Amino acid sequence: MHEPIRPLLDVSDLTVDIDGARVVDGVSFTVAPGEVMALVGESGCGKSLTAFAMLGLLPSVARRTEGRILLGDRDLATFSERQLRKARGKDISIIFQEPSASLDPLASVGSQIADAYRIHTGASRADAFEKARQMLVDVGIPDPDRRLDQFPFELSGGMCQRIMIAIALICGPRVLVADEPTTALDVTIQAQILDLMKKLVADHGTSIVLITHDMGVVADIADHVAVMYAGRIAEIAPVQDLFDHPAHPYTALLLASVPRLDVAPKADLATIEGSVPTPQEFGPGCHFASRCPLVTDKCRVEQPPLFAQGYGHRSACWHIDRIAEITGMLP
Amino acid sequence: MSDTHQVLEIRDVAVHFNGRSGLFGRSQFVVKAVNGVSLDIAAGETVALVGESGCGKSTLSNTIVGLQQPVEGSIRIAGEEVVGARGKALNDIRRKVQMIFQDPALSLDPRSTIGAAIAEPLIVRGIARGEALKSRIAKLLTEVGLRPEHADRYPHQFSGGQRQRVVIARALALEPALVVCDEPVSALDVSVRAQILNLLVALQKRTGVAYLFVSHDLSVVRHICDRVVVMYLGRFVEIADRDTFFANPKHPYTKALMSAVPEADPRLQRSRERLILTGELPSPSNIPPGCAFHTRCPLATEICSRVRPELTSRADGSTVACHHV
Repeated sequence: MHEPIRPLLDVSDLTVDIDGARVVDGVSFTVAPGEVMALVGESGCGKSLTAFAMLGLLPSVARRTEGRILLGDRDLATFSERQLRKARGKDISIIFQEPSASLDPLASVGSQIADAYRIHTGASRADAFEKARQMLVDVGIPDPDRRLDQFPFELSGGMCQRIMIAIALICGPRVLVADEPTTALDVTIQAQILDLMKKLVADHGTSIVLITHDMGVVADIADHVAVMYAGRIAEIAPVQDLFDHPAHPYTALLLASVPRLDVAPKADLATIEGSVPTPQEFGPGCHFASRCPLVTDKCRVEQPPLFAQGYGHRSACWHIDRIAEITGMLP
Repeated sequence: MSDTHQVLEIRDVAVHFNGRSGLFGRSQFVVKAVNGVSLDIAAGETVALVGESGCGKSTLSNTIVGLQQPVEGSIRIAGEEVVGARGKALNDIRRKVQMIFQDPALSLDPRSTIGAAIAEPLIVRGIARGEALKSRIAKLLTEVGLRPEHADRYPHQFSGGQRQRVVIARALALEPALVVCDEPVSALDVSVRAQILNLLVALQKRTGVAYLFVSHDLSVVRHICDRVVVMYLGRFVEIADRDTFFANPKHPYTKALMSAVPEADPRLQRSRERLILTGELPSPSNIPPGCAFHTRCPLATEICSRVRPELTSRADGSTVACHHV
């Protein structure tokens, strides 16, 4: 049971518009200290925009129109750019999918890590480099003294992602937002990075908001999962609950479309007909209505709220009682 | 000696690249991307080729379809030798092997309708024109789950999954014996991935086409493939039938790969024994001596750094290149 007395991060009703289209629509979730919350969904579901909005990093076309982002007792949503700059890296950090694109190609990795520390603490150059060296050891980079002087192009993708993690964590933030941190990496390197993230949680009590599309990664590391579809949370649950008892048709179909050990080879996998609607095509009702096998007229006109389904488990579906029918429809 | 049921026979194929580095490119080096591999694929069979990026799997697939020339070895497609073939003979062989790439958006010309994209191989080979061509395109589109009227649309009007269907239709237009699929579902979303996998399986059942399926996703490989080949730094380290492979993986690298791929089941994933490799894939321009895997191998001993293990057959029919298993 992970429900703490008070969550560390409390995001409520987060809403983002692009050109009048609502691309993130009332997203709410909480993260306890030392907990990994996964936001999962397919491309365009709004999971990355949710992450960017939390740090005030939205692209200029996008605008956060509503929402509260409580980190401890401070609301990041009310912060000025100046306040955000102070908070980013110190209280809440982010790492991205493509580590080599996120690092400055013209600066040594040592100075990039040390800069992050000096900006927030005002430490001396020597102290910051010593701290950077220590971070390299912590993120499992062998031969740290040599690495400090190297440039990103001299390092592999997995190594660059470790550098990104070192930069993100050098000031000891309480929350790390990781946007598809292993998607660009080989599976063997992915396993190393996931293990590193687990170690951070265990050693420092860092909370992680993990953005991913990979149900395997979710199964490996997440404590809680929020499944997003077309800008909204479809279902949110403790990880084992979600896999054992999906309570939203989208989650159930998504899980059934992944080849698993218990599916016979070459047997048909479950599919979701059609494709994700664009924000211009969103109707007034449930966004999944156009593809849902359980759809009724009500679904098309009325948006379902998140119904409680058990401890920490909520699902936005009018027909939760009929979820079992999905199993009968699978190939 | 060629057995007519084999659509692909590769013998001792090596592919090397010359590289230059340093000031004015004065220092030369050779990248040994593929280093003496042999493999047969039978009609209707799906063989998976797995390994990390840089292991040579894409170079090998490109070589099989003729986008790369091997420095040595023989490649036969449906019994005909490709290496050294020229002109019309080469063209006739190439018709029998087609390729599907990872990103369908990059495999289609944005300025040409998908009908034109599918027609091109048929026109180039002089197989069909006029009404016959039109009905052939309509049939191909229907086979991959699209509608004949889609022929007049452009790639940007389709989703990623639909575009991959178009690419598959184009690859099948010439009725190839073998389709090399290089990470065909890696760029697709999970729900769409399942549609494409179902389609590939259904097409194989209908046409008897063989697939060489290049992938790093072992759950997909387990689902779709009959046989699995594991590649590490230019060489095969393990070849086995699917069931043997997944029930009893032998090479330490295979075991490491398997334990690195997370299972989409939290209870199973968190309880299984895992072998996490330290370090990263060495550069193919500087392959370690002996067994190339010895720098990362938990079982490595002195002999591994001196003597390269050959692929040898095991009682259960698999072949493995390791001194210690």
